[in-house]
Amino acid sequence: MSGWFSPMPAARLALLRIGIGAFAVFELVSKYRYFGHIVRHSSLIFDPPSPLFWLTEPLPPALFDVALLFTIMSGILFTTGTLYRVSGPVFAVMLLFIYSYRNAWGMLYHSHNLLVLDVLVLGFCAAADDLSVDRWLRTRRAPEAPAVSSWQYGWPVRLLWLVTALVYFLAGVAKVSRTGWEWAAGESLRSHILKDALYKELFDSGARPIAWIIVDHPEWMWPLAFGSLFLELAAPALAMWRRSQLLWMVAVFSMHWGIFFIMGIKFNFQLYGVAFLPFLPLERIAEHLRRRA
Amino acid sequence: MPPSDHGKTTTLGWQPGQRRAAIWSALMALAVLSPIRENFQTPRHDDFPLSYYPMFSVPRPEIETIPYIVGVDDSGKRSALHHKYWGTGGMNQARSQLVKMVRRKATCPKVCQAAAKRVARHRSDIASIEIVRGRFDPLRYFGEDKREPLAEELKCRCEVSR
Repeated sequence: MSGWFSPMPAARLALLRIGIGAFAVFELVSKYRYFGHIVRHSSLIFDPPSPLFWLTEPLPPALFDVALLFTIMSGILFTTGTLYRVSGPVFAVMLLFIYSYRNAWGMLYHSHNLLVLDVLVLGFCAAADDLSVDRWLRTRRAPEAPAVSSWQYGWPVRLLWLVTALVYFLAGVAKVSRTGWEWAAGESLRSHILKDALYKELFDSGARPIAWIIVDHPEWMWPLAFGSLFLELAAPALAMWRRSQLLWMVAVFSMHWGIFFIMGIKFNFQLYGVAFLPFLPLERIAEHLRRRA
Repeated sequence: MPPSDHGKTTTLGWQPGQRRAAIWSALMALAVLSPIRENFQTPRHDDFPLSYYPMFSVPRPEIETIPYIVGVDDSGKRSALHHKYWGTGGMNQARSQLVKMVRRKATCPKVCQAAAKRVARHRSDIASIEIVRGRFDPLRYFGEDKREPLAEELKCRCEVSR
């Protein structure tokens, strides 16, 4: 366990709280009207995921609106590190509630799982010991030594690495267990891209031009399929080993942009790079800013 | 609160708080990994936020059977209706909602009427709405540019009244 509890700077965990928290709040604010629209849909299709097992029918939409506002406010407290012992867990639980409820209307999206899991990790650890309103208030009352490196700030970062790696690993296992190793040959991936293109023809503004190209070039598929399957199955090794972390992170980041260009599927948490912040030495940013100050 | 327990260890070599952190880490990792069992049982059940991430995992059938909504103009010309006229959320969510609602025969006319109301406000060229289920061969569609369905079954139909 000594590796798991190796010290890390408080600033690194604090910057993760700020980055991931700010992204979550931005997502909630930018989709405020969109969420309100979804939860006013017919209750005929209401089918909540496990965290909402206790809900047998939809909440009154106005109550959801209030819950969403409360979540945004707790998210701001979380991000700024204000009353963190309360706002951390409250925001983590409320974000889980909001996205579970959003996923209760006919389709389970996979684009917010990692964000919710990351906030669950951050909300229950000492992520506000530096760069936070709580710390600023404490030091105003009584001078306090700067937050240093400690095991308390290391394990949550490693847990974020592990959670990220496991999410990709699971995606790889699903492909191999349900299709076999031939998934890496690319035909399955091509069938999904064409299915998605067909959906866009029937439900949206039309397929992306790539659909007409790849249909004649199945040989282009295997490098994409093999590469993505490798990145997923090898994630626990590559994402946990410091020497390969950066390479793995850049490759997965590129994979998400590839998915976006080919199918238009937006995993914003990954596309904007926020999901990969735990792998970056963010403490150097804090050091740089402090030196300049 | 900054850590104040540097150097202290328990008899097992744990510093105070490390045992709790280790248990929380292990529980979190096991919880995230737990949906892996869905790959080895039927029926499989996807969930949130603990998912087994089945997207793209199974090859699609050669022929896709898809319910969709068609707008018909006065001259009888038919075109697929954008999901914004009849669904909520993104394309995949709207499609998934349509599949579930059309599966229940009684709800098809309700979905049709709701779409007709929205279309009446935004599309003056559409005279009626049809909810259909079509069979498509994606390779034929994109490879040979033959965009008509192999077969189409009418589920319900309604007029757009203005």
